[in-house]
Amino acid sequence: MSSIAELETHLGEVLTTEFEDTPTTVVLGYDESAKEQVAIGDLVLTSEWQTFGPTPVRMKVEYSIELIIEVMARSGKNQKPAVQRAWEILDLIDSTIRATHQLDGMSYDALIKKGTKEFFEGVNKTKGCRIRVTVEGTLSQVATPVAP
Amino acid sequence: MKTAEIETYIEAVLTAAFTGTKTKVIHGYDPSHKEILSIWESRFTNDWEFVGQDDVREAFSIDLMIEVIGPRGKGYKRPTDRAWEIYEVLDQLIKADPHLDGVSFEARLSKAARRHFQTDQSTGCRIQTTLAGTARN
Repeated sequence: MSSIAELETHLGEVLTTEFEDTPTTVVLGYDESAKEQVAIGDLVLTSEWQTFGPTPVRMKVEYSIELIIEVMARSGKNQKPAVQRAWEILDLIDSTIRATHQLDGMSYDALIKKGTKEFFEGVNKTKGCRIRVTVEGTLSQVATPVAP
Repeated sequence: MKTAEIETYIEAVLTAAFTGTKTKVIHGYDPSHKEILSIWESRFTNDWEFVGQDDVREAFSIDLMIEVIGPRGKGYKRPTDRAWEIYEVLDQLIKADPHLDGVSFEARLSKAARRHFQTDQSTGCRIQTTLAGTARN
């Protein structure tokens, strides 16, 4: 598996653990039936390579990944509770992903760079609040200690 | 996110200002009220700085929507005049440099669009405006 795929999987696992025992489900893609979800959306990456002898080695990957928070409103009118819950979920994601994380031979950081909050109409004309954020970060090789 | 705190703060300021009037301050949309001031969509961009501890400067914009509905057949003047009155109150409140504990921010109403609309039973005026600014710890 490529390191970026591992990162995506790892991010999903970290968030799933964080939202265990809450009504929020963490999904890859999108779940139309969920009342509260964090959907892991599109991912874009750029790679930086270095060549050691004949072998190109990928040293650094800069990536951005879209996270979509959706909370359905209990009634179709004032959506304040849905808005508040969506912001709460975002705060939890922010604190969860901010630290640098370790993967096998790699480390990555992740920061929320930008976002939008919007209202939408779901299935059966139910209303909801959606926050889309872009998480940006770098995935780097961890330096291996050289034996003396 | 500072934008969330600013939304909550703006809601409290506006709710206090419009208490005792017909204008309801809400999130989202509620057509059952004749006059609403809605805290609508918002956007933010974070510039991260790492000096000592994590710090962030957040540029934000929050769309606000004023909607005044009158009975159909009575013309647009009353809803339009009332919508602009609400806009004026909003503009004055924002200019008064509101302050939020723990987060400093500055914001201004940066643009506005006024539209008329009609439904089966009503005639209305809607003003959409954007509150834009920056915030930091």
